[in-house]
Amino acid sequence: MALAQSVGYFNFSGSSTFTWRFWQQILADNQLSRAFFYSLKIATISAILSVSFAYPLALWLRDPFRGSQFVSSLLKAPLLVHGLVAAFLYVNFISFNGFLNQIFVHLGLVSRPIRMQNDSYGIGVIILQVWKQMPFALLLLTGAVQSIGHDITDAAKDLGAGAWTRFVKIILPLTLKALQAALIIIFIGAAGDYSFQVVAGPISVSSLSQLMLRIQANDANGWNLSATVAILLMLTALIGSALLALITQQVIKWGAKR
Amino acid sequence: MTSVLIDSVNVRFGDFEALRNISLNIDSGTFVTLLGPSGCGKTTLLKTIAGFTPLSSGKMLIGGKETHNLPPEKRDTAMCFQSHALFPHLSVANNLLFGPKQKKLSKQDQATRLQDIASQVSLTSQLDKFPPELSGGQQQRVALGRALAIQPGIMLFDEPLSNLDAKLRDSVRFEIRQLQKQQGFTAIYVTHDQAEALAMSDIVVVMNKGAIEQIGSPNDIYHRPINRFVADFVGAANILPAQVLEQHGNLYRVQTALGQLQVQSDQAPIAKQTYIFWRPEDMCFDSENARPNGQDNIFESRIIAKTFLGNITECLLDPLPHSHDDANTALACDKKPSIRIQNLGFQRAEEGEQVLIRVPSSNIRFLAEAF
Repeated sequence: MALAQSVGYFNFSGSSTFTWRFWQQILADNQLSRAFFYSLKIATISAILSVSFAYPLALWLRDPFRGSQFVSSLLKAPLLVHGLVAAFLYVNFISFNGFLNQIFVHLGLVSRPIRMQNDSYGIGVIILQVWKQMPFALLLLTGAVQSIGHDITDAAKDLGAGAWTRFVKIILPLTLKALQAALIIIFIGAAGDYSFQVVAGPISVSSLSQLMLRIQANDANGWNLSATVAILLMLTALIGSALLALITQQVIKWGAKR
Repeated sequence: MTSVLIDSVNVRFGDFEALRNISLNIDSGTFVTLLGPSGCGKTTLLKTIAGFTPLSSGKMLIGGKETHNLPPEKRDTAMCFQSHALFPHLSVANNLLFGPKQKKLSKQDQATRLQDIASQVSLTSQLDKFPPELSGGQQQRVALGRALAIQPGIMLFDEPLSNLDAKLRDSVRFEIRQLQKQQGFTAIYVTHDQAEALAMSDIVVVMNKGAIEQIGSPNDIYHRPINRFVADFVGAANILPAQVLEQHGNLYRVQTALGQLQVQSDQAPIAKQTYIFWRPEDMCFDSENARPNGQDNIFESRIIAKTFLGNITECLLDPLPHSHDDANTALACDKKPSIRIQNLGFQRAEEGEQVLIRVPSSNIRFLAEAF
């Protein structure tokens, strides 16, 4: 449907015939490239940070200890909180008159509140994405890490491998499938994010999904133009996540053989 | 070559004492086997030497160096795991080179080491394969080669042959022993298979319930076990409580549930009430034309069960009451024991048949255990 609309079919405001003009118009728009690179940045950084935080936690939780079940449940709690609620609470927390600023002022760290909300780099969105997606990565990686026998890591240790070497040469390659799955799913989710972006994202730049909705609402050919953005969003998610997974695989294999 | 000194080592997991007061001195270049049933602590002791399990108390020296807080990668040891623990994502060559790479050997030295090790463990043609593509025996060789590749002073083997079939076990067992003799490393080998322990070792350490029961050469362990546990665990044994009645030089007359027996022993019993034992192969069916010997013990038995095992025949015997003995003693009234006999080849005697059994007095030994 989106593909057909992007090339002129199902046109609600004119003749429905094949045309490239919507693609030409949208590709010439400077907003698109900015939104594309912004969404790519958010998705890539969120995916990488989420798995980076999830790995040490998965390794820590590999062997059960007193309270490990509770810690594990606590870390996975964000899965139960809706993204919009989390974004609202986050903005509430960092807003100009929010809790964080009040603490900073109270402690004398700053003389007056600082502006953190809707930062222009999208840091707030990345924090929210990682907060929301890291438990999912943890879920996948914990299972994968636990499936590696202790004998394997003990053998590496015995042969002289320190903690970092064991991680790079043994843990990463043996959990590659779970890592790729986590990266792909987080990347796709973050690339298409709308709610975090609207509430906590920068005002100066749109994400692809934000742009898609805005074009649909503001242009006479909105449905067809936003359909092209939708196709680009899907391609970004698909190709971007596949590339991320592929690059990860190559880097890990290279690291394991070194 | 590296020696190991273990002094009063204890290992506890919570309330459970996995190792109790273990002291052991292993000389450089010796092949030592830790033998015992499942859960006796032999693997825990091996992992303690490797550095995977911390000591609760006591001390350990490897090559004269205190190992306290020394991580496994800093010890002069390499371990062959029961599960092989090969790295499935690395080729055989990269598995073998894993250790040398950690030791930062030059590329040229790595290549030389790889060729040497691959030929030693007969894997030259398999270097590009991955572990799941190999047979069990080949996987075991990779594990062995991988450990040897770092040229450790001490090789630790955790039941490495338990996943192999009987035929393969024999050949890999032989290869391990040959390699150990050629390279002269100290080997500490864990097994619950007494045949494996006796065949491979210079020294056998028999363990039970977290403690050492006996340390000795295979010959000592088999022929001069210290107590009922060792006698029974290492091979089959006929063990009887016995009361020493009288002594003439090194010849003892003892009362047992089988009646009165004569024991010829240079080692005096530790108490009047002790245990005697003999191996099933140390007795034979008595024939009428056998040369009579006043010091042999002869008693009549019924064959309860007979098993032909190819090279030997094993029979389970039910001894019949002995008319000449004092039937009033407590020992004679004990539950009558079953006796096992093993003789070479096929035996004609059939189940249910009454036979005369001869046990030379010099084949019966006292255990250093009283009751």
